[in-house]
Amino acid sequence: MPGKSKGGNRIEHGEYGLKALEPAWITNRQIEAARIAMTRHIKRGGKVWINIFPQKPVTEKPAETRMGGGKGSPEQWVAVVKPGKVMFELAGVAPTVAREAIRLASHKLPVKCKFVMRQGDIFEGQ
Amino acid sequence: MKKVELKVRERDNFGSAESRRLRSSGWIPGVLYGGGNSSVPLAVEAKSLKKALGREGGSAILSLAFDGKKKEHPAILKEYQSDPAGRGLLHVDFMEVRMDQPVEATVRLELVGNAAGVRDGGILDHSLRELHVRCLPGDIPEAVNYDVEQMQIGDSIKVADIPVPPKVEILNDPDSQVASVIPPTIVREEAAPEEAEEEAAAKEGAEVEAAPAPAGGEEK
Repeated sequence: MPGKSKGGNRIEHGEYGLKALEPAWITNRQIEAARIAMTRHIKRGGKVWINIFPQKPVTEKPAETRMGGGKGSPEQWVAVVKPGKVMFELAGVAPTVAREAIRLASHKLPVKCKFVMRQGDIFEGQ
Repeated sequence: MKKVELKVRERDNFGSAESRRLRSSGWIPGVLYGGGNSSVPLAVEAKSLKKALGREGGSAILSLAFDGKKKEHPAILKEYQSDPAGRGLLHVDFMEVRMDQPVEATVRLELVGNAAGVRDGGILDHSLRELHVRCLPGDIPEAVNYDVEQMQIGDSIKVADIPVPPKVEILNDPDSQVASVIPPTIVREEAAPEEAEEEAAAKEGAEVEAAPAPAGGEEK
C-alpha cells in the first residue's frame, strides 16, 4: 500500500493519540479489541475517540474449495490505514495512564504504532 | 512577545531530490513571503530553528538574516509541513511582517487550573485550542489563558467568555464553544465470554439429560 496518510495525521479531539507507523488493513475486531483494552485500563473518566472506521468489505472463499464458482462472500470489514494516521485519541486522564492505555491498545493492532501527544515536538525526528 | 534572530541562506537549487539532500544535511527548505516583496526560497538549519521557536513551535517574531546580507527581515512562522510518520519538518513558511501593520495569527488557548467538575469526576472537553487573532506583530500574545477552576459538570465556555488581551481582536465566532465539563462515562464490565459459554453448555446438558430419549430415532 503506497504513500502516507494525507489527512487525520494530527490529534484533533483529545490530548493523546495512537499513530500508525505502517500501512495495514485493520479489522473491526481489532479496532474493538483495542478500544476495550484502552477503556478497561482507564476504568473511569477519560474520553476515547476512534478515528478509523472499517468500511471496506473483504471477501474470502471457503476453505478447501476449488477455484472458480464466483467470488467469495464478504467475511470481514476493514479500515485502510496508512503511516501517520492517528487511529485513536484519548483525553481526560493523566499522561502515565494514557501512555499505558495506548500501549495496551497498540498490542491489539497489526501495525507498529507510536504514542503521540498534542503538545508534541514539531521537530521530532530531526 | 520575544524577538529572536535566525540565520538563513538563500536556496539556488530546487526540486524534491535537492530538498531531500538538504534535509539529510540538517537543513529545512522554506520560503519567505509577504511584506510587499516577492517570495524568496531559503533554507534554515533545523537546530537553530528549534532553538528559536522552542519544541512546540511558538509564535515568536523571527528576525531572518540572510548569509552575507545586512538587512534583517522580521517574520513569523506562518505554516509548517511535517512528516506524517514523525520524521521531522519538511518545509517551513515564513511571512514577513511590518511592525506597524496588523497581522492575523493563531494563538494557543490554554485552560489553567483544575475544574471543580473534574474534581467531581467529570471530564474537561477542550474543543477549541487555538484562537485566530488580529493585532500588531509586537502584540501577538504567546498564549491566551482561561481559568477553569470554577467550572462545574455541565458548564461550558464560549469564545465570548474569553478575556481579550489588550490591543488584540479575536476573529473567532463569539458563540463557538471552547470547553465544557461533561459527565464521566462508566464502563460496565461484561461477563467474560468463556464463563457465559460454560453456563450455557451446563444448561443445555441439563436439558438433554432431562429429555426422554427418542425411541429408534437414530437408527435411520
